[in-house]
Amino acid sequence: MRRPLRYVVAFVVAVVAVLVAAAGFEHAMRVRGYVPSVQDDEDLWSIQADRLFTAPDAIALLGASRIQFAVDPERVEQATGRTTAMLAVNGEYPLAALRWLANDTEFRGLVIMGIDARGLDRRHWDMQQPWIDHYRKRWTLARKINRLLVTPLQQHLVIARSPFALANLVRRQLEGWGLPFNDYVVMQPDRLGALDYRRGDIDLIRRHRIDDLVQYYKDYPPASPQAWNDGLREVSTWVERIQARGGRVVFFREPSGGEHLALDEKNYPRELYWDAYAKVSPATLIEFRDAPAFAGITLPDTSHIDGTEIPAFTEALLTTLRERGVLPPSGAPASPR
Amino acid sequence: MTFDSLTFAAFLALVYVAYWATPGWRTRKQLLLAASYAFYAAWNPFFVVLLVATTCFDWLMGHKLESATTPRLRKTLLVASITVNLAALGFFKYAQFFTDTAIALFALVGVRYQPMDLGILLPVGISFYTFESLSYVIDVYRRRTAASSSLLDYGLYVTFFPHLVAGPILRYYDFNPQTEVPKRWADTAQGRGLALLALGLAMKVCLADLVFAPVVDQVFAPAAHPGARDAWLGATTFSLQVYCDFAGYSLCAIGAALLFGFRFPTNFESPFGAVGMADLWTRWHITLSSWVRDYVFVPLGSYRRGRVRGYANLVIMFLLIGLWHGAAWTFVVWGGVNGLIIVAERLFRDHVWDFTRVRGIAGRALLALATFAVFAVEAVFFRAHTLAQGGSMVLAMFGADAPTALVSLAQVKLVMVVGAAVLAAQIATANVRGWDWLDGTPWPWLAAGITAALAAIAFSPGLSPAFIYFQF
Repeated sequence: MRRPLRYVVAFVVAVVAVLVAAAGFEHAMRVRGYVPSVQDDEDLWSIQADRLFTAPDAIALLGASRIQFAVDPERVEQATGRTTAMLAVNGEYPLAALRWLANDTEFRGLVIMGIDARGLDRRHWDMQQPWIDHYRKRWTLARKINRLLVTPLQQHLVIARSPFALANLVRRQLEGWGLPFNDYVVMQPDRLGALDYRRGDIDLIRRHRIDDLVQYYKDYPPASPQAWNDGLREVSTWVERIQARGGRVVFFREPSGGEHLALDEKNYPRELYWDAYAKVSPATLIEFRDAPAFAGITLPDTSHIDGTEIPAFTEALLTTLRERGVLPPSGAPASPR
Repeated sequence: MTFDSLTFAAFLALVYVAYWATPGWRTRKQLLLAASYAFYAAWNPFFVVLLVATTCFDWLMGHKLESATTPRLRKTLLVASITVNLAALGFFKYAQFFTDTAIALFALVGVRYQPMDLGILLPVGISFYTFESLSYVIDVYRRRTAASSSLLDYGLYVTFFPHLVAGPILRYYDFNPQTEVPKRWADTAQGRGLALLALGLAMKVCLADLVFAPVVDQVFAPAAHPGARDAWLGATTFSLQVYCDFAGYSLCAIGAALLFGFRFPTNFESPFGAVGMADLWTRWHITLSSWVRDYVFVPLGSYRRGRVRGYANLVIMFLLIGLWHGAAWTFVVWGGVNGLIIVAERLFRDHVWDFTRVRGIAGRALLALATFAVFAVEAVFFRAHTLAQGGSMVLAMFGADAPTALVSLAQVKLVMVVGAAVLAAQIATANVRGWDWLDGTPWPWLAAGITAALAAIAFSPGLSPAFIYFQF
């Protein structure tokens, strides 16, 4: 066979073989209950961060999983007419992100930060700093294009996520762990995650969350109310900086219930922590128990909502923000500035 | 953009189609140059200015050198060019390192002041293109090559995107003749280029990133305290990781260049099949080691002024190789230890036993494995975050085992099997040079190899692409 033809035949055979193998692998994973989901990472976060600076009145959604898995940025954008970026990070409190926005003089928009008294403690301030460092130091146009090309693949293919890499699967088999954990979160390109509790053991998840929280409070007992409030003076200066530029900052204590709420209250009694700070904070503080719109929200694992409730939760948040004057009343011009 | 990103796949496809669809050789070269600047700008558009400035400066200096009539003027121009190139490299790459070192030295004698963060960003690939520019100017000075008559051709030599950010480090006299001859698609090695691109990517995304890196990251984590088993595992696995990462990158570069009809020199020749460290350094990052040999070791006098002076020159050469890799004392120590070991090896071969004369397969395989082990011990300083971490890791390699293992037995099994396969392949192909043999491979074997490479790429979805050598 002639040299070029030899390569053509070899490549055709190879491409067909790999496509057939990939189709078989994808099918096998779907049969086992896996569904496609976008893999969240610092590049996906950075795409959202870029959006913040495309409009002067953009809305930044900061927080951890309780914002990321509950507030639909697209709905917020439709309702307000303002560019909305999901910058919450699952498992990591957002103070570093607030500090970054305070220090960036370009940002003059609205910050809606999901937070509780525990998350305001100084020891959690730097949790999201690596994401900001990535955005400031490593985020490039090339990375953005790569991420924009990878995301549609992950939207449509289970096997396009790193847990399904062959080497990782072999490693799991050797460890005796079997196939990857079938995550009950489906992530979207805009970093909104939808929890599907039908695909998880709700009692187990609930127990796990409470056990984690009990252990956390054992390992990290709360600072005294005085020390905690003193620490927040610096946070107030960040808020003031954003608001001095015409922006606005809202601290939103998301709903929790059952044992979770009881543990939080025991360790961070509302009147000594949250309410005390609300009296002196330049930010608008919203506690979910003061917002009637959240009354009907159910929390299967005591702190998160099911994906089917995202529209209702988002609407409840928008209603509350309108009631507090953060957003104009429904029907008013979308952007007050 | 990195070769293991979809950004690069799209970029390569666009440039490839545009290049071969464009009539006229000059227009094609202009297209390649523009594409190369776009490729570079994808990291940081501002540094394109630096790249253009150094390219124009060295091209002009080449002309001045060629037209200069007196030796004194020629030398002055050469020194000026070297000074400007090294000043740029020194500022961007080493300013913070030297500042921090000075602060530490002053602190030793009781003078303390606030450490400065100069906030200097490192232009990606600056070490590579600076060395290419220097070799050009020095070769014009030595009259080894004529000064480039075309700024376009010289710009393409410095900037051509497959080698721009991580080599192979080209020589102008090798590359320039290729820019003078128009390419015809039918005459180029398209199949081999694609095959090498696939093989290089497979080495990077599957072996380096997914098989070896997780173990290395565990062992070299700042808080980790590995025992003997884990320290050896970390050191050997890192050696395999950095090989698959950088040799994989080099193969991608060679393959991508072939798609446009350009040939790059081989950068790795089965380094772990080497017998002895001196042999290994003729197979590892060949374009760097030969550069330092030709432009540092030989001008220093090599062995011409006696053995002892030759050994000192060797150590200086490796210290520079270390410093070239990174602005940190860990790299300086890595380079220095490499130099000292090669001197010791030479003395051993001259006075005790010349093991390179062993001819049996088993004997050479054992010697290759011993060489790999020595390389792995040195590589600890290449990977360590600090000298202290490197030192304690080396001590752990020759000390007692830690009570608890950092790396699970399953991970050990995986890297042992894959690592053994990589080493066996290198030992088996130790005498094979280049990739010409690929064209004579029967198509079923070719198909099997390409299928394995494409499968490794397709079934290795990862996150945040990055190559180790981009930081240099």
